[in-house]
Amino acid sequence: MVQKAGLLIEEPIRTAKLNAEFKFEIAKVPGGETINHCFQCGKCTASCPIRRFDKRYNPRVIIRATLLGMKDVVLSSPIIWMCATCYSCSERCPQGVRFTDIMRVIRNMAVAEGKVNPFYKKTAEAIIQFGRTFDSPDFINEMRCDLGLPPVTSLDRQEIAKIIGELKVNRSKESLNK
Amino acid sequence: MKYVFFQGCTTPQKENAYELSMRKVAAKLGIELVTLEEQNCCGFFVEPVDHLSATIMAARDLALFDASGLNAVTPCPACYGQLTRVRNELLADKKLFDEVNSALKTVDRKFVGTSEIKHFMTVLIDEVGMEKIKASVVKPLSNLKVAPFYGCHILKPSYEVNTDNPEDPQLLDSLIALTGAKLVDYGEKKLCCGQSVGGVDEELSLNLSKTKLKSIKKAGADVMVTVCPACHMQFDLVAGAKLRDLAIPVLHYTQLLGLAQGLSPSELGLGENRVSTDAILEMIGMV
Amino acid sequence: MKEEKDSSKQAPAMVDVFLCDCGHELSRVIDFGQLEEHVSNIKSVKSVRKCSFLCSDLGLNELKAVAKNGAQRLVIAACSPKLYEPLFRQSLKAVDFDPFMLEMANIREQCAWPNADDSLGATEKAKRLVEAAVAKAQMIESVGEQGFDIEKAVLVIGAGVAGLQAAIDAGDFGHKVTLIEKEPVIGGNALKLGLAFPTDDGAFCISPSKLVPSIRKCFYRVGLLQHPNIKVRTLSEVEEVNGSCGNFNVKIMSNPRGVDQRLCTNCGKCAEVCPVEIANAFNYGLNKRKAIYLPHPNAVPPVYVIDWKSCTKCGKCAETCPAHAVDLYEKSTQTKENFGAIVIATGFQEYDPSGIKQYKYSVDKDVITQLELSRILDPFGPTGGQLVKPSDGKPPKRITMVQCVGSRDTSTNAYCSKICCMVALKHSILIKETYGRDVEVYFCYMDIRTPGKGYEEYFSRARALGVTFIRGKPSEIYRDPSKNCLIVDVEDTILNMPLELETDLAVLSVAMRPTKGIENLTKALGVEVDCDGFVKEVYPKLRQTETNVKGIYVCGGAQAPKDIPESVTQAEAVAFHVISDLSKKTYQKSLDIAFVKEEACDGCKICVDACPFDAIEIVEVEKTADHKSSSVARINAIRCDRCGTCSGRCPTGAIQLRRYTDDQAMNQISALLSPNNGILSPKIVAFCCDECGYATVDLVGMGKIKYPANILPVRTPCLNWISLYHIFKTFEHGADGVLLVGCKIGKCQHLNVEANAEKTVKFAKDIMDEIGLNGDRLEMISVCAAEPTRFTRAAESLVSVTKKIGPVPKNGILREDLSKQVMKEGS
Repeated sequence: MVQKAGLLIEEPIRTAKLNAEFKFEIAKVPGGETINHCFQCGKCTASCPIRRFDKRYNPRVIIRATLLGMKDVVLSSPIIWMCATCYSCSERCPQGVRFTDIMRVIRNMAVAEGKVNPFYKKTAEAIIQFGRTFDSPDFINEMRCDLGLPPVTSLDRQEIAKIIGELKVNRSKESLNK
Repeated sequence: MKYVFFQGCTTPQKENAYELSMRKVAAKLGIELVTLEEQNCCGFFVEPVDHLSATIMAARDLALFDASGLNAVTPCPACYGQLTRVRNELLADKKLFDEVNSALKTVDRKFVGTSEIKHFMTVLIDEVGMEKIKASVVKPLSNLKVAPFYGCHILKPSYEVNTDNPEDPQLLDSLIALTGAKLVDYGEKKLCCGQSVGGVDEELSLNLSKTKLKSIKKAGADVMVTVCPACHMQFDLVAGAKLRDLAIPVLHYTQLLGLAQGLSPSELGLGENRVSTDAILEMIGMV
Repeated sequence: MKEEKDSSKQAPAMVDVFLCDCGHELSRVIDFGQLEEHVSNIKSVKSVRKCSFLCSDLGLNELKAVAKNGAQRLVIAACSPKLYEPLFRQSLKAVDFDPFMLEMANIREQCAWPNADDSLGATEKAKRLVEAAVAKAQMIESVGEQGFDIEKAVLVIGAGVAGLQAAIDAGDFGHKVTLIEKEPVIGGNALKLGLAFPTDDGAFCISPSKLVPSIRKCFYRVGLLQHPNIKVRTLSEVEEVNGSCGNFNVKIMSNPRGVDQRLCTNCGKCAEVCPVEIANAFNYGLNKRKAIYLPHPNAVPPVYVIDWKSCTKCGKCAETCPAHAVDLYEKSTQTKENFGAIVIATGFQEYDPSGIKQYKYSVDKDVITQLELSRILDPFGPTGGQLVKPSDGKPPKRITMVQCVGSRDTSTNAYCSKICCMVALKHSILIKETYGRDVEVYFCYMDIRTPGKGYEEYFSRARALGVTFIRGKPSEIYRDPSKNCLIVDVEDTILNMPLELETDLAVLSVAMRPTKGIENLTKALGVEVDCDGFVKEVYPKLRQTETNVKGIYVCGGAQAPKDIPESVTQAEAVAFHVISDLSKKTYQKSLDIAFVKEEACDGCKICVDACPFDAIEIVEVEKTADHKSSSVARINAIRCDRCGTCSGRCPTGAIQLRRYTDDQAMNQISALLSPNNGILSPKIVAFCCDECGYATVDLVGMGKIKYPANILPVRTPCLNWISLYHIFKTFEHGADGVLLVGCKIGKCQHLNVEANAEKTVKFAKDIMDEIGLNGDRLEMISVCAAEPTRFTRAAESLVSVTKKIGPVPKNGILREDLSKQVMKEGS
């Protein structure tokens, strides 16, 4: 096993053991369409502020591993949770590869396999449960009242749960029909 | 000029001074902000985990805006980017549009797409205009040396949020210049603040902020100005606590403009700033 | 010009038919006895002759005898017309029989051979094909030819290496050449390059003239200005163009030089006394020049020129000039001249990278382009060939080449500019050979492209000299004031590590763009440009120098990025075209082209916009009671390429194509599809375009690949010719299915880039679904002869689909009311 940036890869790379479908799976999801256009020039990596301070995070290597088909390596890696979504890469890529969106698709795939960074998991769960990042607004409203601001808006969090549920049910019905 | 005011989550939770100063400045410039009830999180921090849930959460807010009949303005660039992106996606993909609306229908909501999303900075530039803002300045802050910080999401990706040139942004600089303050250019102007990665790796996010602050210090600025509550939080709250010797006062742009418009520090919530603003208030004679 | 015979007013012509069985080859499959009997029973057939090798001398003699003996129309059923139609026509012409009064039926490649296993079907098909040929032959009209004068003069626009080559070649042959150049000197970009690859000698170099011995290599050999057939006009541009191939009428504007070419001795005293000093644009502002100046020592003509924008008209130069050559009040001149052919050789310019803000071009003085570096390295340049930084004039210790700036980038120019790797390698080698270890050269690339002969050596030499190659595209270039140098941020993708490259000079290899002003020029000429703004070639594989306007050619950088060897070779190819065009006495154009029934034309202009060859214009005519409009379309005979696009688009049927008029075609189809004796059922009419479509079907037959005999091929000019009328009438006449077989979309030599046929087919299918005819009966395929199975699979598929759907109802019309309405709207 060798460490390539933050990815742990088995050596030598046996292409028979790689998942050739992986890049097409990503390309099928909205946001991941541009992944096959990458020609590995490295401009994204050179622009990345995270990469600048932590060598484990390397956008180009992540795409390279993905295009080669290293599905398990990429989805299990902790580095895919380091992207700060600053969009510098997507902005500068000469081939229009939307790396930030591809990162989101990869992250969603990892979550579907049960591999998710605890901070992101906690935050997302809270937001879906409360409808926003905080539960009770009482303490916040105290502060706001002192400043002369109106209290935070009301929110029916059941509604949020309902519409998320509806959307997911309809989606799974559709994929069953197919 | 009347807008629905979309708070987001960060501002009411951690950066109320931003909302306060924004409301005050809006009043001075004739912008009416309507508080919309039932706002939910735009879904920005849900995207990495579940794009579908995030999409419908954003769509619900978009439906609220459409129902109000007004365009929406938000202080947070992440919300601005997320809501803009979801709106564009829904308007371009008929299948998704129908799917989302059929789910929204079960709670009597409907997304149409009539309301546009704006960030407060874009409202100032596009709707109010430089002339009017300049005219509202009564107390030029000519003694202040200001380092502008745009943050990432107000500028990128330019294929979704087309506000300014990300490689050479000038709009916030122009807005700051209107207050009479002096602009200070610094090498790391375009560097991300690191807030979004703080939950995953705090040291990493501090390294980014440290580098930025060093560059600003080298350039000789007195104060930093932001347009994003998360960036402000990173430099005021986080850096204020963890990088004490490097931290400098950070103002929301609306606080800076408010001061130039003659509003008092307390009216603009300067008391909420964790890194003390006393030094700069002295520089402009407003202790 | 022969008069058109109005066939409807005379007795219908009688047809003599030849049935050739190709040495008994075809009669093995087709029952020639039956065929002969069937054909002789056709009303309009005067005689039927069976023969074995019509293409032999014996056969041709028999053909000629029949033709001489009062024949009106001839039909030959034999092999593919693509083989011997020209031979038969030649023979007919030899006995004064109009060679175009011949129609061929292809019963070998498109009948006996592919249907060898279905004798019954093949025989029936042969009967159909011959009947159709007879019906068509009856209605063919005689068209004759028109002769157009050819002006034996050539206009070459642009005097760079390509333009010079084209001009010299055409001039050597003996044609009068006017070579215009918008700059005050000839040479274009070559004058700026210094050394050129792959010979590492001067770029300002041309190949030897065959006529004037002194014209070879260096530009300064004034032989060019003394060439008996070439007139060089510098400071000149095209203003307006009218006319067509053989006779272009061009308005040329020449701006005043201010210095008399005949008197100037090139002494330079005028420049010495001129008080105005401005940045020298030729050297990208790296040095200054006066308002009266000589651009380069190798200037041709070797004459000073006045920059009117900066000149203050103080008169000092005029006073000082010992030859009294200065005329401060010289006026611009305008001439109108006629040319037989025009060559576009306007070359290229560097893409301006100021928009790529992260590279700081035009912000930091030490970020320059390769052409600017050429000027610095040129001993005739602003620094005398000394490699120095523009910012402070000091020598740089480190230089970084940045490749693909503005190229291979979807947000600027998506294409590769072909020459930049070689240019940067050339410069790297030059610098290393001159300065050795004193200057470090870094080379940031994505791929190294050295495809030409002798090119890979440059890459090897560069590595041998110690140039450091970094595979990575820089994200940003910025100045570090503390180190007083530039920093280039780039990822070393091979080592997988970030590099902070300190460099004193950053040289951007920017994209190659067409030269400034190309939009106005191509508009004036009516020439199409491609999506990147380069002049569009008719057919990228084989015809790179021809444009959509007959008689206007293109060579060099104006067509696409390329280097000197390719530019010059292309120019020679253009010279061949030009010489060939102009070597005839007159240009004989056969008039089997489009024509307009002026009374039926309502001047809607659809044809004008649709014509890919700019061959139609609207003219005003006297409006009689029969005329729909006084503005009618008129065809330019020379430009018309016989594609039939106009006819396919025309809503009133006013514009038609000779030998493929709607009446002729439908007569042919009607004969093809009758009677309904059930032998070939379903019946599929396959419209094959005369280029790749027909060739593909032929080649399938030649390869003896089988497909069902139900497919009845019909030759069409170009699929663009097909309209909704043709499709629906074909169904009405009894077809159960229709297949369109044409060239690959976008690769058609009739420039069918708008895919008109595809749109027509889609629209037709929708209508067919609406009226219950079922759109699946209609298909279109894009093929080339190298893909035979595409055709056979489509043929088999359509036959089985139409079998499944069932035949079209007997009278062919499903809902009379609807179909009438649809026909009116759809046309």
